[in-house]
Parts: sequence; C-alpha cells; structure tokens
Amino acid sequence: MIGPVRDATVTLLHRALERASRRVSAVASNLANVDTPGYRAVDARFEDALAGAGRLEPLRTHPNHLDPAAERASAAIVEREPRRMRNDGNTVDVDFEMTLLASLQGRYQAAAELVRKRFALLVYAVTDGRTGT
Amino acid sequence: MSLERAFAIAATGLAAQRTRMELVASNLANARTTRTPEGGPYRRREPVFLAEPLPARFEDSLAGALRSVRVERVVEDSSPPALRFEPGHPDADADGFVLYPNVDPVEEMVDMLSATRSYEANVTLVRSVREMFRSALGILR
Repeated sequence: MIGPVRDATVTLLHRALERASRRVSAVASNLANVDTPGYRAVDARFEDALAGAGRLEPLRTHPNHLDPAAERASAAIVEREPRRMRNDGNTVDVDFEMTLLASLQGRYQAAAELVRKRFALLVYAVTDGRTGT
Repeated sequence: MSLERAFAIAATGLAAQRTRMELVASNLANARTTRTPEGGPYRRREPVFLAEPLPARFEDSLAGALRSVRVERVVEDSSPPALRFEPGHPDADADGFVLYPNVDPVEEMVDMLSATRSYEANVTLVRSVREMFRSALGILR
C-alpha cells in the first residue's frame, strides 16, 4: 500500500525488520542447540532480496518462475552451509552466531529508528511544524 | 512474530543447559558415594539433548528448520566404577576393594564450564532480542 502513512520507505523498512527478526530466530535455534549432537545450523538469507526490494522486481515470463511476492512470503529457514563440524556432527559455530546476532540487532534497531523518524516527520507535518522531529 | 519465537527457543536452550548443570552438581556431590538404593556405587549421569520442532503455537510455514532443544533423557555413564583398595571401608569386598563412582571431578568441572558458556550464549540472545523489542516499541514514541 502506498500512501502518506505506509509509503515505499516504510514498506522497505518493515521488510528489513521482519527479516532481521526471522534471522534472529534462526540464531536462537542454533544457540539453543549448540550442544545437541547431530544438529545442523540453520539460517535464512535475505540480503540479496533486500538490496533490490522496492526497486527491482523480478519479471515473471513463465508460470514456473518463482513468484517474487510468494518467494518473499515463503522464504523458509534452511540448513546453513556448514562452516565446520564437530565430531558429534553439530555444525554450530558460536562465535559466528554471536557476531551475526550483534549485527542483526544493529540492523533491526537502525530500521526501527528510521521508521520512527519517518513517522515523526509526518507528525511534524500534520502539526504544522510545531512538534520537533 | 519471529522475535517471540526467538525468546521461546532461547528459553528451551536455557532450560536444557540448566538441567545439564544440575546433573554436574549431582555427579560432583556423589563423587564418592558408594551406596545407592539400586545397589553398588553411584554412576555418573549425563543428559541427552534432542533438537525438536517448535511447539504448535510457534509453528508456521516459515519456521522450517528451526529447532528448540530439550533433554530427552538422562543416561548413566556405562564406564566401569573405579576400584580402590580400602580394606577398612564398610563397603569393601572380601579382597578389600571398594567400588567408587566413575565420576572424574576434572571432567565435571570442564563440563560445568562448557554448560556455563552455552547458557550465557542463550542469555546474550535474550538480551539482544529484548533490545530489539525495545527499539520496536520506540517507533510509537
């Protein structure tokens, strides 16, 4: 929906928030199972899709092509390419998960702050500039 | 919402590591226990972790390969008990040998450190997600 309240910027940021939170649940799964034998680390990768989101939409010229909208909605959490494997078959790398977690938290908070600013601008406009952003 | 799911998964991780810690406590406390109701010396116990799909209320088409964790069962270490020559001990056999638990305190300490680290990893996640929630709430301010 495009309008003053939910414009392209907000849609894009909403997507960024959603993706960061989804990836965090993958990190949660990996950290919870850090000592589970045979557990394989999972992840959801969205960076590429995010880079083009809102600007470049893939063209569907064949019914077998992925529907970009459906792809966004159904981007599932899958096993990550193992970075290393312990003898018990577990592929969780705690340091990697921790770094990823920190970066996801940063991205999420940045996006949330941008949404806040965006709405603050609206408030600024509708109050005739009497409210600070 | 995915963030709540992250909380729920981290909670299962915390619970599993705490159970592991309790078993370390049990092993250390009984490192020299020579009598048990089942007979014989205490045997070292350890948890078996199982990765399982999320509870139904957190399950959706996107949850995919996400797994929570749970202690499926507790198993006894099958390694043989330590044999020590203590003829004066009330539980000594005819040759003067006493069966002591197969608990190695050093091994337990290492396990304890490992459980602590894994617990902390889950706590860090809970903290991060809490901050994310807070910044999401900040949109309303």
